Amino acid sequence: MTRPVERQDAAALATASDDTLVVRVAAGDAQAFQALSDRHLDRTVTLAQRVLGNRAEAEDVAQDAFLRLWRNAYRFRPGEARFTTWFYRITVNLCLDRRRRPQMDDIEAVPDPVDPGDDALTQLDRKERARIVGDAVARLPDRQRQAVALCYDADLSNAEAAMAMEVSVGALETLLVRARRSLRKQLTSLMPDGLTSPAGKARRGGPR
Amino acid sequence: MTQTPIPAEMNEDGFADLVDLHGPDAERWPAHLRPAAASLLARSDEARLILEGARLTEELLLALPQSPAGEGLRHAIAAIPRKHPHPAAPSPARGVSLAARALAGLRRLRQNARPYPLSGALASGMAAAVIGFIMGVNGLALPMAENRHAPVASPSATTQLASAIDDMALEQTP
Repeated sequence: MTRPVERQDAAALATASDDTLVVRVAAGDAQAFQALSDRHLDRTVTLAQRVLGNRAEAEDVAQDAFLRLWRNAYRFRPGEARFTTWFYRITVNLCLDRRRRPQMDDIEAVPDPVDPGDDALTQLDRKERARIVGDAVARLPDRQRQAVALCYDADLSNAEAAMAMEVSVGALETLLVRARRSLRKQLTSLMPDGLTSPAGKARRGGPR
Repeated sequence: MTQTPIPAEMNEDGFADLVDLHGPDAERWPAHLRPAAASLLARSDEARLILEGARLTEELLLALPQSPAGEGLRHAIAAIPRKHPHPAAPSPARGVSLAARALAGLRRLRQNARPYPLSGALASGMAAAVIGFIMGVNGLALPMAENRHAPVASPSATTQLASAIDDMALEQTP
């Protein structure tokens, strides 16, 4: 049975900031580590999978990233960067390390080709849309895909994503512009003539 | 972000640059570019298609599905504190911090003393003395055979000191 003090501590951990939890992890607090991993594990796996395009490798990277968090939390400096910026930089670097290793062919990792005869997006269900955009993102060059993953999957700001990739904000924005342009062109080609959102239709008469 | 020059008239390429950089929401476009963009949208089907494509792209990117961690991974991560001993954080962190301050001081000293021919040797000698003192105070040891199983942070502190000395030596090399 859980004691009242433990329940209070669990509640405090659930609402504690990332910075507070990392400081406790640095002191060897396993509960704080658990709270941090509960909070960020799914996003870490998503980020790694987006960068690597392989589920099994993404899980390996996530495990390695959290092991590094446990061992090296004392290196995090609250106030210099958000925890997520620091932690996702570790995650992305681990992904890059993996990509530098000789690759084994992995059929699972190869995205399905997009059928040019796919129906209009209006007829696609949510899952199909997700697959199409996921495949389109998977085909982006590495750096562009990292930028997209950090800004959309990890929900970092441009400045934070730039810090995580160790590039300037301008360089990060250039990667995002190229990625969005490439995706827009791929996705626009799937739009049948005349298909626009209601907002777009309102614009057809020009801005008011 | 760099200030985009005000175009007399925006073309489709310029409009594509605008939406790819700032997104499809007109409220996020720089105010000085909005009139030219609005004017182009009023007369160009291609510009409207670009905008629709940008909206669709943004919508789909924001809705990218998460990849929830599997149960096996959750268990493996939950077991990390049990399976991996936690490094004694406070002591090495203090050592690193002291070392970093000492090295910063030595660098300043070396920079100030640059015109004098013996400054490099003097700085190196003082670095060795200070590092020896810090390692003694903090119980740090060089990574020799008997210390192979020392906590992760301790070698990291000594490595940092060693690489700092290397850096100083390289800086002194003409």
